[in-house]
Amino acid sequence: MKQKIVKDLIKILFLFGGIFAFFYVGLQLLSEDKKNSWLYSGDEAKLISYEQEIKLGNLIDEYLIDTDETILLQNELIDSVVWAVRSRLEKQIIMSEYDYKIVVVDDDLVNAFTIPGGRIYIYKGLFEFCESAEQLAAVLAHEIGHVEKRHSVSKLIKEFGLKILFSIVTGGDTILLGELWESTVSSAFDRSNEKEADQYAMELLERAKIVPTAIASFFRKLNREELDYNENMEFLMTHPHNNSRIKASLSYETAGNFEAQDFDIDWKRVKEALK
Amino acid sequence: MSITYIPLPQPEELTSREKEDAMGAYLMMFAAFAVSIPLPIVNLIAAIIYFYINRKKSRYIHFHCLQSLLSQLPTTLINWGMLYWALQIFLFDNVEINDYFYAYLGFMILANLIYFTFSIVAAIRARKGVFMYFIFFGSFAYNRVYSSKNTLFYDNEERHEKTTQQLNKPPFE
Repeated sequence: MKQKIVKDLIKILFLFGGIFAFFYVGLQLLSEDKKNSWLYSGDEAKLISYEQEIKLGNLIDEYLIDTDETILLQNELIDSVVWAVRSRLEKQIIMSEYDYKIVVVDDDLVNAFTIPGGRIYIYKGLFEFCESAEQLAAVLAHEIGHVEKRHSVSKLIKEFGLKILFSIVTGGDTILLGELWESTVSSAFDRSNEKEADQYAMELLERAKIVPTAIASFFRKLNREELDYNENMEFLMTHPHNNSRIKASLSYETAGNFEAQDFDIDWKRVKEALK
Repeated sequence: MSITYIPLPQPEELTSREKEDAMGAYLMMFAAFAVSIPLPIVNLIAAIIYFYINRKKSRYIHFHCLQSLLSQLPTTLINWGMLYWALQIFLFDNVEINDYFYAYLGFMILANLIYFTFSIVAAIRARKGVFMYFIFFGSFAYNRVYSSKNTLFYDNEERHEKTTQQLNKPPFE
């Protein structure tokens, strides 16, 4: 009798282990895209059209420039660097609904963020922080990832609800716009969103013939410098998981025929131009 | 030393009350389950209370109460694990959602479904007076209740069968 009980116990343990393994292996067999859309991000963004999202982005941008008095940097060299990096990445974006607007904010913070509608803001401090154009491209590719996956608008829908966003789009309430802007810069994306944006960035960088490990080198520098997390970029807000993101970037496998093409940009000159 | 087992009662030998109480051991869990979703200990407490209230009524009821109680231990533990993990993710923000979490979620849902299905079938069969043995738990409960080593007195069994020593004797033969 005891033997039967022990045998049954072993059977149960195998059964439970088998069920768990079945689900885990099943998840590993799913493609990253399916896994991300099914499990790691919500479908909130589907509730709002691209046109409405772009309109919302325009309103937040107007608020930024007019009410918040955000000053944009006017520097031809920096503009040309942004153009060079952006055009190389933009060519490789597959079927985008967005007309990207990338601007540089005249502020020494090491920061970059995106608002709905394909608008990306890079702070002057980020240029000073980056060691190469490839690192800047990595940050930009990451932000493009947030845009293409519609993380920004999803986050706003989660925080404010669809009704409020619709009322803003139709009425342009400036008080609420301030709230949206605060939320955009002060709260981080979900870690799953960061992971998804990183994955998108690595694929985009590869297609643009930029080394995907630029993400890892950027994060390593972040870890070395230990910037003040309260004052700096959204990128930093997932700090405890920077190491896993470095690991993911380093383990990203490029195609066999991948050949990186470095930017023809004198980065020292760029840094000097900002002083 | 070999263990002897008391013969199992056949459906026609069981009273309706016994069958209903045996069925209740499984169905009671469903009532407790709604409360147990956020706090997966209520079902266990309810099962323990039900077990202690009813186990002495008859061996048949004792067996089903014990099988029901034991069989919900794994799912309760699994649900506790999920509660702990979910709190770490969503409340304390200590860990992030990963594939292991989703695999565990699937595992938990399936384990609960299996447990539910078996409990419903066992409840129906218990109502008909038929034994259904769950893997491991069925054998364990049978061994505990129907072995001759079980010294528990049941309300529907006569006690003199157990009393081998005649301590009280008449004053004269």
